[in-house]
Amino acid sequence: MFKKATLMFLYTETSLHAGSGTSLGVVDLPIQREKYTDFPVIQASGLKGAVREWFEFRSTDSADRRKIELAFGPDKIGSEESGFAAAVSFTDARILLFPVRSLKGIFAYCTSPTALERFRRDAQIAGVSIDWTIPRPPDDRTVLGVREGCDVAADDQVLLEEYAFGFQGKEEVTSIAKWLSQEAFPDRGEYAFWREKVKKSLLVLPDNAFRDFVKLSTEVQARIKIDNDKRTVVKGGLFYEEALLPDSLLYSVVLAHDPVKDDRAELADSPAVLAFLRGIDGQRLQLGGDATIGRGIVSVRFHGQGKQPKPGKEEQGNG
Amino acid sequence: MASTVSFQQTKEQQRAKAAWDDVQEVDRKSPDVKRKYRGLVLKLPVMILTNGLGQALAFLKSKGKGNADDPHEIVYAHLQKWLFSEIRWTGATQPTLIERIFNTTSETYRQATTEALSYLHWLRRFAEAVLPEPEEE
Repeated sequence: MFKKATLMFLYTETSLHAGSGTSLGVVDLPIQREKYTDFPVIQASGLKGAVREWFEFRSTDSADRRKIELAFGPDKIGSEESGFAAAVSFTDARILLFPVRSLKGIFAYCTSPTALERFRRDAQIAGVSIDWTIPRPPDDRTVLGVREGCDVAADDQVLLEEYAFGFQGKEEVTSIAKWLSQEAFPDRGEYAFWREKVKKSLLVLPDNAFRDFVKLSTEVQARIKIDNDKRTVVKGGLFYEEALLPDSLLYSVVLAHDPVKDDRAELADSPAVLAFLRGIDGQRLQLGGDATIGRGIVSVRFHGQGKQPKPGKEEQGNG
Repeated sequence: MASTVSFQQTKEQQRAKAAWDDVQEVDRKSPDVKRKYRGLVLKLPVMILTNGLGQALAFLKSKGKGNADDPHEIVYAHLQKWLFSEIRWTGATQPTLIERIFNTTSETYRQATTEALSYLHWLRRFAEAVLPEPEEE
């Protein structure tokens, strides 16, 4: 059983294709989704592999490599090292904020009561207590936004993609937006603008509307295979690939155990494992497929200690 | 007690049956119409995803020009028939699908979009199975 846990937030900077294989649906290469909600998800195995790779690229000596083996498990099964479990576990990365095109304010960070309630429950696993309450839209035609200074609403109306919604400002949404801005968004300088943006553009959608957007408003790209001799498309070489949009926010619960192998010199216990893992806090990571066409760059932010919130000077230029 | 097996069909069965009938109807038309219809239902889902249902229907209308034998109009008629029977059109009683799309609530429009995609899923499967591929250029 795990001893220490925390939240790892993933903010996508480019389109992310965590693929689920082939499908019979509209898109040939769809992204991974949860069976019962249809929300986009990044399966834990892919996430763990990508985090491991990040550490492996940076390992310089055998002590580093030993820590990686203790934290993530042995690389080769079949050697004498075979058969011990990793000291760190990840849960599937779930969606918290999904960007949707807005007539005003370019795009809105959208979430829903169900997404927020699940986040609250998952945060509890990580020992993070959430002090905000989650408001409920009154019906399927109304979205809730921040009380003051919402930049996506005009005259009590919000136009998301081509769908119109009524708008209500709520104090609860303001609290959630502030919390996300401080605790979940990457805290580096280049995120000053985005930490402000979420305080203006956060919308709590009715659950049904949110589900429809995460289903229908992902990115669908047509891709082709070229015949090198004819310089034309190969017959049957057109395919559609789905991707999660940039400016989405996901999170995973990171659970640390005491390493199975008693190797006190390297990683003594679960706090040491978590401290080791925090090496990736504030860094960029490549997740999912199509790395060579720029997909899957995410910013990683751990919740809690080690963060340096920079209040005050948030309006600095980011050029 | 008599058998408790429900005779109620699943939504997917109903869509599949209606789509099969639609494709069979197209299969009795000229080879040219068959090929064009097949191509259309194959690309329509992505068109709806990227441009929206309203735009996609307007495209079918602009190409079909009201000619009932044009493949664009045939696809449009198939969608209209299905969506009229499946969607509860709040506040819209117009006789054509495209008018209802423009007059109904945003919520119903969203439902119509997902339903159209679910129906096209079957249309394109059956079109691929039954109708001829376009000839190579």
